[in-house]
Amino acid sequence: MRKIILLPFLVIMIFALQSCLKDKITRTYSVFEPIYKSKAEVQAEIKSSTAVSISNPGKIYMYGNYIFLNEVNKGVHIIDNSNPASPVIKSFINIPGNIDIAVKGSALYADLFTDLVVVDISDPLNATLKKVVPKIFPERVYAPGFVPDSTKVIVGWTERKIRENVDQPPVGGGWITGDRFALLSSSQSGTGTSGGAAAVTGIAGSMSRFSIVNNYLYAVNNTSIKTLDISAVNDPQLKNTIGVGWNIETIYPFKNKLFIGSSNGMFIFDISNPAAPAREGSVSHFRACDPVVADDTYAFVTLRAGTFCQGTNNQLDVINVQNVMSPQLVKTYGLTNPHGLAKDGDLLFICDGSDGLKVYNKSNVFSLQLLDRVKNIHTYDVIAWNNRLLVVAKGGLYQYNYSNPSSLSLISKLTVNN
Amino acid sequence: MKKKFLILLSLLAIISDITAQEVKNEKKFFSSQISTGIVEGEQNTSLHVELLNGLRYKTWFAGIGTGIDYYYYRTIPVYLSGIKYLSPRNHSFFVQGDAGVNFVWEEDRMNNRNEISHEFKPGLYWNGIVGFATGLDRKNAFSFGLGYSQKSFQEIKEMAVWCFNPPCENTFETYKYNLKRLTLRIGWQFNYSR
Repeated sequence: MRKIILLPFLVIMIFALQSCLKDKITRTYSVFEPIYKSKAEVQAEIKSSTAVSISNPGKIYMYGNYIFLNEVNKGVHIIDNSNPASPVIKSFINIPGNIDIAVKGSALYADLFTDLVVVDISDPLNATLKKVVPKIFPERVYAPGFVPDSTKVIVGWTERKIRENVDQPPVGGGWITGDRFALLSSSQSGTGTSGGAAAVTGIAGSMSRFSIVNNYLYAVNNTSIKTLDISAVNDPQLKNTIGVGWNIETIYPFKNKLFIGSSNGMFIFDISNPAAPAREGSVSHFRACDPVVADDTYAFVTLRAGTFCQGTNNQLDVINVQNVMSPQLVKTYGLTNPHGLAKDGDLLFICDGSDGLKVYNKSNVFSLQLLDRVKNIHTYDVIAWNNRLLVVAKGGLYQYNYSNPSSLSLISKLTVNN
Repeated sequence: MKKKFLILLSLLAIISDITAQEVKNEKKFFSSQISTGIVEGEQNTSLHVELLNGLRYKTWFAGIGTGIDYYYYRTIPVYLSGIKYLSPRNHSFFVQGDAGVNFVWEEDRMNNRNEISHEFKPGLYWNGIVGFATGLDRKNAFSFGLGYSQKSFQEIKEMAVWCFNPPCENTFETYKYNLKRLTLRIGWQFNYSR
């Protein structure tokens, strides 16, 4: 009797369960809504404020006893580095959208989205805005479909979590955007500039898009070099805009040359006439992100693959630039995920992403010798000067002594505080 | 994951061997069941294989089981199982309930180029079965069953954003999977005395 009852029960259950066979797959992601302020409001707020902890460090610029550290898209930390063993964050200058910085004399040059701002930092605790040069840089590009209000300034983003049902999860995700929102990280940027290396005005990291050489500020954007006369440091005058190509990323000055890194290659410009850089040679490479440093004989270019750098190779290219009209690739070394790099004499320092900081002897470029490697830091950019390394990493701003390059010693660390 | 699974299977097999003796009309004895079958859901029809070991007392069974479930994502369920036989005789209907945790045993796959990494987190697994077991002799029985099963897990993807000027923080997406299936299962049951 029990079996007779059970069989119809089974049949009923099977049919009932048919309606319960719909898989449920939910996807949770973030969208960011821009927070706007008027340009007047933003410019009124560009001044020193009390020191704040480092949260998302970007590019660095060393000038005298000061370190200027970009807080990505937020502004600039002014750090008193008179005692490298104990650097002190003195103040913070609020500059929304800021990515790149350069300093000459008492003037700090910084990008504010499309504009270039000049800030008087003669008293770092009382910095004041001196001038705004509008539309030096192109509008930033965010996720497809999102067009920011160009009459205002984005000063932040509000994050919202979106949860939705999906029929099939994508094999890896994809762009997420809506009519009103753009998906981007808090550090998403667009233009940027700055650059440099050992100019008399200061030293920039190799990831920079600003570079100051004597009385000129060179700023690269995605397609061109902007030349600004800064003879009067607080009153930059745009002199020239020179097309370079697409996807320009970094600029590095050496003597009377500018080395421009793009995602497709490296370009050399002569600045004998500083107001009008003249293109000389170039060398192409496969698509990748590529900061560059150089000397009289060789340029060292790190190529980084992945994410939106595209490409698949992570490597260091050594390029002979003795004939600047026809630079030649002479050697390639495999790396993990290289970012910024710096050189000092026979030493080459490479930020290899999660693989840490690597120190090479480059006296023989055909056989670079690894001298030391600092592990367990995710490095981004580096400045080498006078046996002291400034390293920007995810964890903060590190300083090392490299008087013994085979064994770097940590001098100090300013920790990121999330 | 693969190593853990193989170790678990080996342990269960060793337990089975150690206790393998003839059943002598005992009310309480060790029982082991290997089963296979298909799971049918919205996504596809897939294979599953399971090994269940435990103690049977009169018409009740309690044990621990594991297996491989190929539905949508290959997963390893590890669960506690309870079975009620509706009759003490050799041929009997039964009702089975399983509940446990479900681990993803990741397979190689294509990634979208802006996916940096992903991580799977285990989720709930449960299974309800009604079936029929028929004893072939004192220590072997054949069973089949129909049931309904759910397996859940999470995938967290780290995604790169469109980044002109690094450093750029990546974003994260979370996928929660709750997969519902009908199961058809046939099994071979070994009974051992203590």
